[in-house]
Amino acid sequence: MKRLRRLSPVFLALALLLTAALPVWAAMPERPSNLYVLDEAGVLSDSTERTIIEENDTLFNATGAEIVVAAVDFLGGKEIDDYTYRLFNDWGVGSAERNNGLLLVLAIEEDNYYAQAGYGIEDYFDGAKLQKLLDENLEDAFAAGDYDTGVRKFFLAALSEMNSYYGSETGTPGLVVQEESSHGFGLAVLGWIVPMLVRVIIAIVLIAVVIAVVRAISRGGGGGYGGAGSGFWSGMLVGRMTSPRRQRWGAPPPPPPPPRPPRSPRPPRRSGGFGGYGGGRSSGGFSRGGSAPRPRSSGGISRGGGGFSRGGGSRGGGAGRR
Amino acid sequence: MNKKNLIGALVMAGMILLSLPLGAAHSAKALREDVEDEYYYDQTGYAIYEGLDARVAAAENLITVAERYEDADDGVEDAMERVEDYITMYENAYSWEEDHLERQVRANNGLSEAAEALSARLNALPITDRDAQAIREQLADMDSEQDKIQRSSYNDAARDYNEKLTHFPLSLFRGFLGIGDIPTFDGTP
Repeated sequence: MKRLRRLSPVFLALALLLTAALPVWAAMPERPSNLYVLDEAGVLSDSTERTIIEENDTLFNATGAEIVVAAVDFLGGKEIDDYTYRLFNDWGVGSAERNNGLLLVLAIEEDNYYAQAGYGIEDYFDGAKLQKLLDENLEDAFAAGDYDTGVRKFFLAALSEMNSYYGSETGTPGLVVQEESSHGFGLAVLGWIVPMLVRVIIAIVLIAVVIAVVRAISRGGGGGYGGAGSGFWSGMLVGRMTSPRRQRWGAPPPPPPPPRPPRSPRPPRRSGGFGGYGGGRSSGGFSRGGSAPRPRSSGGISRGGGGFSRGGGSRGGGAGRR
Repeated sequence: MNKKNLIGALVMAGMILLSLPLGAAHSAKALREDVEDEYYYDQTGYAIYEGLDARVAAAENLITVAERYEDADDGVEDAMERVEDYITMYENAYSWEEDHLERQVRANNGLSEAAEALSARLNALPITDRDAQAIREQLADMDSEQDKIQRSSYNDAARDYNEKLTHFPLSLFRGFLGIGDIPTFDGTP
């Protein structure tokens, strides 16, 4: 009983600590089981959610890209850019191979939204482009309270941009792989066969040269080495190469010197030395928002048909409501 | 103790004492170089100078839009000049200069304020929708890059370095050797 009384302040402190920490843990939602749309605020229709899920399935399988939408009520006291950054990296939006995710967060009760791109596509989906997409597709509907229409328009516009970016991988003319898609099949085959043929020819020539040299050596060569000694060099070369025991030329090596007597032990060194200051690099991390962009997908690595695995990351940036 | 031993002891003591500031300077230099490497390539492969260049490019685009309205309001010309001044300050902060990072931080911080002031001036005028959209997009670009700059691991590395300067032995010699803090781009010391 006495022990319990002594420990009770400790338990109280622990309980307070846990309750204080709870709001932070509860703030970030888990990635939904459908992977692409979270509608905690209840503002999106089933049709829009279905569109987002189906289009994303196709997009991810083809390119590894994802366009994810999260509609929440509140941000738990965080700034929307911090919230979006944290959610992006917690969920691992986009593929780990290409970091090509795009996340749209709507905070309905806070009357705000923000879009952020993964660092594999941030040069294309820069702040200006994201702002344009938001202004042209989401802002008017959002201001009117028609969140479903705004999200649908934004999603389809972003999807169109993503398809433009990835071009032939999605079956549409695009920017990233346009060079390959603009060549015909015949040219593509030629582009592959010719270098291969060149390599094969070089290999054949090299092998022929080696065979010719070896044959020349085994026949004793031409007049290069003189008549009587014509087989000498070839015999030496072949003998050295083929003999299991190598014979050394010259005088035998000198005998090893006698062993030295052992040294007397040194006195121990004193610790000290003020000249150096051990400093390794700090672990770093991100100054705002907490987590570094080491993306984690929910529920382990999931792979799409195109061989991509989820787990993309973002470095921050993006655009929101102005 | 005879004279020779005394001289030898004094020389040894002198060398040990000299090694302290020399070693501290060498360590500080090596640590500073590690931090400056993060400026060029941080833990995510981001280069702060590229982000700064992108912000300057967006600011220059803002000036291009503003030039159309230069005559409409005197305040626009002044606001444009402020933006141009900070762009020049950034461009003149050459990497071989000792304080180039401090100057870049000052230029970058000033650029944010100047760009916001210019866009506020322009938005108060009867500008076209297209120009209004262009202004929003350039500001969004600047804010987006600034967000990435602030999240860069360079800032944490700089803070760690500055923290080390307050501990022995660097704290003892930093004033004597002229070792200063490294600035951060996220507004924290």
